[in-house]
Amino acid sequence: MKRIVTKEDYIQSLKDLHHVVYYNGKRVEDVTEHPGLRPHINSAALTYELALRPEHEDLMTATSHLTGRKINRFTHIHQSVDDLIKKVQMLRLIAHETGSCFQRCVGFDALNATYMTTYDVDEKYKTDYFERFKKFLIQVQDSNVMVVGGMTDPKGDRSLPPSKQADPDLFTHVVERKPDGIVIRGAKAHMTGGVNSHEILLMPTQAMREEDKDYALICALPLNAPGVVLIFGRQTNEERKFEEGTDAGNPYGLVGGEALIIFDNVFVPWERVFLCGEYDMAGILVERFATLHRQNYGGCKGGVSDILVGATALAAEYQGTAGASHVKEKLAEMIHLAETIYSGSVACSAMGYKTPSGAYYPDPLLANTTKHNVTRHIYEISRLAHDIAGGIVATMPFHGDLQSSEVGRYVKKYLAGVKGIPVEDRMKILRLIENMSGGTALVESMHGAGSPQTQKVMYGRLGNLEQKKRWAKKIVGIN
Amino acid sequence: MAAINKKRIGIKYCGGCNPYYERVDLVQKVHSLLKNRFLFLGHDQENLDGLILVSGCPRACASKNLDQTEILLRSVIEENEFENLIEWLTTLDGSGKI
Repeated sequence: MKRIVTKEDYIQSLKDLHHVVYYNGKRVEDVTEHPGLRPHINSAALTYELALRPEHEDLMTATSHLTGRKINRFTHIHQSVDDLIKKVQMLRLIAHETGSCFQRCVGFDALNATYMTTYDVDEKYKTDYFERFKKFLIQVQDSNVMVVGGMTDPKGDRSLPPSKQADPDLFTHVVERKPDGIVIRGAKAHMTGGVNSHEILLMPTQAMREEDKDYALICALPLNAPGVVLIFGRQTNEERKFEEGTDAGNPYGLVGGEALIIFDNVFVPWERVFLCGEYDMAGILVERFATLHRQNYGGCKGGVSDILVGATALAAEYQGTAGASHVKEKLAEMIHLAETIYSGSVACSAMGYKTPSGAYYPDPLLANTTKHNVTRHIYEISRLAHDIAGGIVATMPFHGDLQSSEVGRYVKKYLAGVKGIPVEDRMKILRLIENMSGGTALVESMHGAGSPQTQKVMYGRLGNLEQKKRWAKKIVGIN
Repeated sequence: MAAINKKRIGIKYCGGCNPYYERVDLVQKVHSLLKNRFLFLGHDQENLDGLILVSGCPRACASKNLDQTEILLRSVIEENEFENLIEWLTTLDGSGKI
């Protein structure tokens, strides 16, 4: 594929992809022209555009350790603690531009998790997955394609392992091994940025046992491969994306734009297979991907929260409540919560370390703590935004009413706030708050990168409770 | 021909994760004021006479990992350094005046 450099290159590359995408039961011929998808594409496009700006290149670009060439950081393998920190800083800066998810971190984390794990698999089993993967990685770095990280399977009956499901396809698996490759079947759910990515890097969704070895699979394939079907997920208020004016809210969308991606007997050549049957390595891959992805959330959500804090402060100014002491106190609390989640992301990066592969990895306990805080703090930040902005967030008239020759004068008269502030500006900010602080955006902060309970499970494993008990005993003299 | 005598000034930014001010606006202000006397270029250009390191906060990330050690450097970490920056440039220029 021709190297994607600019936003325009990216959009053209999606037009050229001709992948099979469905939106509300209808086939989408050109994802870049579909109003339900375009905001997410515009958001992801900034990962290309910002990399070209001198004022962001230090964070948005890196030097490939494989080729020595300058690459987009989203295709980089972390070579130091500084790289881990720069990842988090980059996510915050992009969120300042979009106020929404820009999707590309999922593939970034999948690349890093696969890099370090294929190295370990080869060490244990004398396979050649790592060398295969490095060749794929160089292709990704040189072409600058967007890769979606495909981890979450539909999972069917959660009480049963993959091989015991009534329908074996509820976890993605190998159905046929051929001399030149494998055939896979299954699906991946909640695929952020799926419809506007070029490639998917599939990974197992959980630790596997021997009977599940056909499900222990890492492989990459283009999203226009025969047999791949993408169904875009419905979001709250998604019809706003079809509108213009104040009703549009955030032009970069609510969250990332998720899709259910189906693999209906898809062929994958061996050179793109990076794990196939080594079931005991699935668990470490999952843990690494989860840690790398949970590392992110204080960066991107911290940046998104900065926008929500700013919008809320403006709403207060526009309606004359900015001087109230309780409003100042609540804004301070919002800032505290946003910086708390950012601190977690920086901390787990600063405490990161080198894996045997040479790639750097964030501290897993701190990364899980960060994401766990996000599942709580984003709700509280949003609650405070609603508190300050007022009920008008939920009851404001349509943009059409503002523009109406019949009732527009009433909207302008009765939605007026502080003198001199245009009513349309007030409505834009209130609609942005509504957009960013409800529905899908909240659920995403809860379940993206894993539900809260998955982080609690990690506390049990990594929290070192026995050592803590020893310290307590020592202080009071218990032998 | 006038460009031959202009001092060549490189601009190196930090990444801009959470800047306290608009870094690009500050550089554009400098450029507007002194574009007739200086060539403002990317930090990776050759034969620079000076390098302005524009960071968004006191962490001064633009000043880290510098390759250029032979040229005059000026670090900026806040908006109100504008006047001092102009003074530094005009001193570099030798005129001492805007």
